[in-house]
Amino acid sequence: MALRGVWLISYEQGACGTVLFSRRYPTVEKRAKAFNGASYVTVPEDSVFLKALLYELKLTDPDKKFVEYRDSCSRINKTSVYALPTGGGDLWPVLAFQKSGLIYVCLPLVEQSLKPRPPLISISGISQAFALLSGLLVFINSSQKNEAEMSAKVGQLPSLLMQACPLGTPLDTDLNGLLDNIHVSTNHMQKQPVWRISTYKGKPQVNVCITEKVKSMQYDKRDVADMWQVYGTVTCKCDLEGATSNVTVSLNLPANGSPLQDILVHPCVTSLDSAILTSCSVDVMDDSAFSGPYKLPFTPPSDLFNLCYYTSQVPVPPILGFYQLKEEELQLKLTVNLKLHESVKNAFEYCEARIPFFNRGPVTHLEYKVSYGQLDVSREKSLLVWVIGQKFPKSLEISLTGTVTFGSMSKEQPVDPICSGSTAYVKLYFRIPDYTLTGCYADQHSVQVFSSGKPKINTSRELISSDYYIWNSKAPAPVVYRTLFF
Amino acid sequence: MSVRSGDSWAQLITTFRAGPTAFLLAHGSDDTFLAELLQDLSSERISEQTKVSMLTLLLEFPTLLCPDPEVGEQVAGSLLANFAQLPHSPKLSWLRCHLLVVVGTVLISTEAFGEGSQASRDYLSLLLHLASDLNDQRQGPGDRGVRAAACESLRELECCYPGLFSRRLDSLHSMQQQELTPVHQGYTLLYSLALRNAVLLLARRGEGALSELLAGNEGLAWEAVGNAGAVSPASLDRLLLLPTPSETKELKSVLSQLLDGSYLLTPPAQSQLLWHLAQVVCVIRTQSPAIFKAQLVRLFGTAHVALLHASLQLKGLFTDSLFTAEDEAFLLRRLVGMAQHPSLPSPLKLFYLDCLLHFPENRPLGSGSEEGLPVLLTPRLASCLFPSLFNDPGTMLARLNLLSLVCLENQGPEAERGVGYIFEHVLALADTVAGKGGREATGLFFRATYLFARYFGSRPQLMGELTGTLVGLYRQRCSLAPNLINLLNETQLVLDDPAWTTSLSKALQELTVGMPLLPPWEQELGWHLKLLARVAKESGVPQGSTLGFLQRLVRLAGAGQLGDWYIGQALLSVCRNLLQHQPPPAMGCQLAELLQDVSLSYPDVDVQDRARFYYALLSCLSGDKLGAVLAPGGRLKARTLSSSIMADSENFAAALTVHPAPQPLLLLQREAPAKPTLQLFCLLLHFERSDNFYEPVPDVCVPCLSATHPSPVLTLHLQPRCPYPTELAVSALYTTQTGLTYCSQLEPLQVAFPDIFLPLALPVNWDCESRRHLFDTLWSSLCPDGSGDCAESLFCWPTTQQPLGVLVQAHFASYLVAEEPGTYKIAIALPPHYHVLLQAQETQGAARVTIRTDNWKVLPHLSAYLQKVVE
Repeated sequence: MALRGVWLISYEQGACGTVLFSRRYPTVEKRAKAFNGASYVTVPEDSVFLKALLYELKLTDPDKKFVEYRDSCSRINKTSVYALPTGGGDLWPVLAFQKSGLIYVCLPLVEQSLKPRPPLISISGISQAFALLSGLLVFINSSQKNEAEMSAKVGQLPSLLMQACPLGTPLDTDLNGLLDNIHVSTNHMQKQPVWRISTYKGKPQVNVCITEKVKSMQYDKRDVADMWQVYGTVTCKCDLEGATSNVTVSLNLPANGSPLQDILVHPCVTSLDSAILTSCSVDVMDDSAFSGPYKLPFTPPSDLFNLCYYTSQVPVPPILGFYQLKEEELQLKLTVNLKLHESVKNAFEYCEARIPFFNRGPVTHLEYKVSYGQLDVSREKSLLVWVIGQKFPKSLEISLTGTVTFGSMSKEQPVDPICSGSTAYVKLYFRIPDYTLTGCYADQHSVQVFSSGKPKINTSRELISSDYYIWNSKAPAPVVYRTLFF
Repeated sequence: MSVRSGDSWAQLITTFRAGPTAFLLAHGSDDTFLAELLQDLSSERISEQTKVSMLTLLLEFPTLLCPDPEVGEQVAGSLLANFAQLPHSPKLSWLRCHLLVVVGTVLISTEAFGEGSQASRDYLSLLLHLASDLNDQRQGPGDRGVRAAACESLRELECCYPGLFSRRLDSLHSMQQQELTPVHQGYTLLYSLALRNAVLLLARRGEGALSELLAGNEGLAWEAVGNAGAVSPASLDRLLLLPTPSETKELKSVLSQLLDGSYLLTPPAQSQLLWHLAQVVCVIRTQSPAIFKAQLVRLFGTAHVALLHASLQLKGLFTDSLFTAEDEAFLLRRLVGMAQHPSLPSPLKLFYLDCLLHFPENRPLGSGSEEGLPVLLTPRLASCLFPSLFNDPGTMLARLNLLSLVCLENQGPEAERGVGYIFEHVLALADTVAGKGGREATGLFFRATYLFARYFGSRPQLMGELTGTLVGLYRQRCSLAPNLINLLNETQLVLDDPAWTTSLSKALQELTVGMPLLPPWEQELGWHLKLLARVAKESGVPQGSTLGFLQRLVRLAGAGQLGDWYIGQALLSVCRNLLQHQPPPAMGCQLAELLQDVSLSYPDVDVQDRARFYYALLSCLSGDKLGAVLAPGGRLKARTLSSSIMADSENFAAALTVHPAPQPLLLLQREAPAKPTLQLFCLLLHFERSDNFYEPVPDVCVPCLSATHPSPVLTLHLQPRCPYPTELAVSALYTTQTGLTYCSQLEPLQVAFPDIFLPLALPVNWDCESRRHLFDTLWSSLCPDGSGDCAESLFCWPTTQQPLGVLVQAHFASYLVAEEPGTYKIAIALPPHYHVLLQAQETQGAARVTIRTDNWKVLPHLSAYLQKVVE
């Protein structure tokens, strides 16, 4: 259950990468030699490692169209675990994530021979590697990122890794939590959670925020089912004095609420009622599903954290729409209709529908009629933005009709491999504060704090759109959801 | 030795890390660097922070710095002395932590650790002493970090030398129980690891009592130093212990106490603890795994990968003795849910998908090491994992793979519908390739096609449709030829019945031979011939139409409409594959005719020669021999082919391939002959432009290059589109005396700015006055008016070193149009149709050059050149 090395690499398209940070663990390496026996492959120096990694991640030769080692159809990576070709054999299992110009890399110890390669599930170190890299990723990406701040963060890594993983065995993976790790003298009467290192002094308060996101794919077609999906995150920040504070948050649903499914809780939650976990999105819904309250007792970390994640199946999408686009001679005729469901709170912070045009020239002429809101053409002339504003009208239904004419195609205009021909979509962006689709809420009474002093409790909730597409029903559209049962 | 500064150390450390071996080589083989490092570590003039970064070198590269155990021992001793001198100040606790960890790393990795080593004994007693300060009683909370480092170092020693603390389990346990500060995690991990190792070693030894083990309070088991690698989880199922009921009870209380407190640890530490205890329970058969039951709900619900993985590992270890059938079904459903949970990052979801294919079932059917579907993973359960165009490539392919397996292993209408959907998905990917999809979309489609063919290759209807799609794509984009060839090769390897590969080949052949041969064909023709060469390898595909197509090409070549070397070689590659893979009676006559036509009428000599050679092979050898000669690895001496066909030294295939040359043999020089050291034949120089400023440069062919003859002078015709300097990449393709063909990249050819200067074409009989008049007229015509491309600029030369007249004569003599005392009027023509006029005037100590041009874009090049003239 240990790691042989950790690397952080910066990589930009077309350029060669740089090792920003690396850390090796020679004592683990010694064990790897003993465990792997003849199949042992040594960890090369950083420059060789980097080269092999970029090669394996298919980041080399960007200007060549087809290179067998990179583009062969039998080279399929179904996980983020790679075998790096080094001089002495293939270094495996190298876990690597790419995110915004950085590659996070880790090599866990395998406590057996590597030939044949054991399945990932049997390698204890693999999840430790995942956990450490996820922690590293969160640390690097938390707070605003400019060049200076970024290099300051990279500068902190040696010291953070010395705490989180001094000898190759991860002791903690929450690197942000280690930042202000100072040892406070307290009279301990009982063991305290390792992550609860509270240095907070001040007025006690607890913040609980429920953020729900809704995804949708609407086709307005008889043979393709529309899809919508709700998923939520409950975030908490507990500013409480003392090491032994316990908090219980209960998430409640109203009588007509949609049960929460696939609940995943933060490791600081001390116990769970198994009823909370029974509902899974893969099951067929039935009315007997547990519908709360979802009680989550925990000892809070001092930082902001995600108390739990969930998904849910709501009976209808919040906004139902259709989009019809027809190519007539040199112009496009379009109709968009949107209807807010009557059960949804009609008070948006913002709501707009964006209608992009790909693989065409700039919009040269536009004639339109909207029943509500206002329509703008973006500066790049490739996008119509229908600003709906804070409220739908009383009828809850709005429409847009228009014709668009395009100039000739130029390099500046956006291209998209999916939206060829008349395949096109409208994408909705909205946020409704103080509302959730599932009905899920937490209030003053549903947060219990066992600590000295009466804390102030703030609760909030919101619904945000995420990947909310309405496809042109007059052309083929990519199907994202398939059911094998009717 | 004097003490280095902090900055100098920082620089050294960076250089060292960038290439440790090279660094040490550069610093000589003696240990001066190590000595310097150790000396400066105890110096007071170096800051703690610098010392910490100096220590990282020993921490990460101990075996490079300490090549043998003796050096390791010395270094550890020196660092321990260093530690002893440091006062117990919270400010220094960070440095002390590092020292502890580094000493352990050095002792372990240099193999210096052992009973006979003074440093090892000192180190261990120091660690145990530090660890005994429970709840900060002696040193206060300021020293807690050092204590945590001591615990962690002890744990690492136990991990590397399993059983080292096996005789002191009771004392470790009591420390673990008493410690209340957050350092308790360190004590818990140390104790649980020592317990696991002790129990596993006890089971391996087969003698000794568990109760004695648990109550052990003696010294260290130094013999454990020889145990490295002895305790491996792989050997678990061969070990067992059957302790007495009272011993079992004692152990149970220890385990329960550890498990009850496990939620207080960080997730990675919890998963370690669970894994250690699970191995203990696995070996001690009298202890029921049900002891973990209380932890399971918490583990099932966790969002943390290490904890979920721990529960899967418990499942794998204990199967139905811990997980009921209901638990199993529940865990599987959770795992499916997590494999598509929108809140989780995609690498993690891919890991869970992979776990599904190796799910530890209570009643496994497969071997476990290969991918296999759990029985409970029904089409219904898996249907939420359908791939979509919005997935990242990894997710899409992983899902496609899993769903294909599900549909393959299940029967009934659902599975059939599933196959249909998967096929639709592959077709949707093809649409993205046909659209504006780039390399990534193309790669994705071909991988999905490969997977589909692998799983459903035996379904003629779907595969037929897939063939149609691929042919349609090739019709639109011939540059997909390498992808198609690769697909043919790879599917042929994996399909039990490669009928589809054959039918795809046939369809592609049909399309290709029917393509109209209209210019511009060079690019596309190359792809077609590549594809046909691959199709020629298919013995099940009739090749008559391919031959017909080649004959059309040869006729065109004969008529002078095509005939470059590359096309000729590509054409002959098709012939070669036909020779090798198609039995002669079928093709013989037609192919022989074709080869003869090529050898007679193709415009390139090298191509003619090769065709003649193939013709000879075809007419002299029987089918079997021909196949053997042309097979990869067939033995044939290339150079002597014309005299004797069979020989035994060289690979024939090598003679027909273009090899990258190990180093450039040639150097293009401007009118200064270079001496080639070898004799080279059929040298073809190919020029590639780095920009679009010039017209393409045609290839140049040199029939023979030899040391005994003077180097030929080649004339290159460069036709500028814009008057800028440029660089031409040059590659040479040539045959050596051994008969092998090489390709080599030569030094690029630089065309500098003055290279394109031309004098004005003035009639020779013009007098000075007319020339001056011409210049002045030109000058005023190039006066910038703000709208066109004309521009005026000023440049100054210092004339202190050379008078202006000398400068002008040296560099501009042929462009000088008129001259007045102290003033020189220079006109330069820049092809294709631009001009630069210079008026250089001597002033005090400097020359003022006024410039006018009708292309302002040349000004930066011009001023760079003028600058260079005086340098």
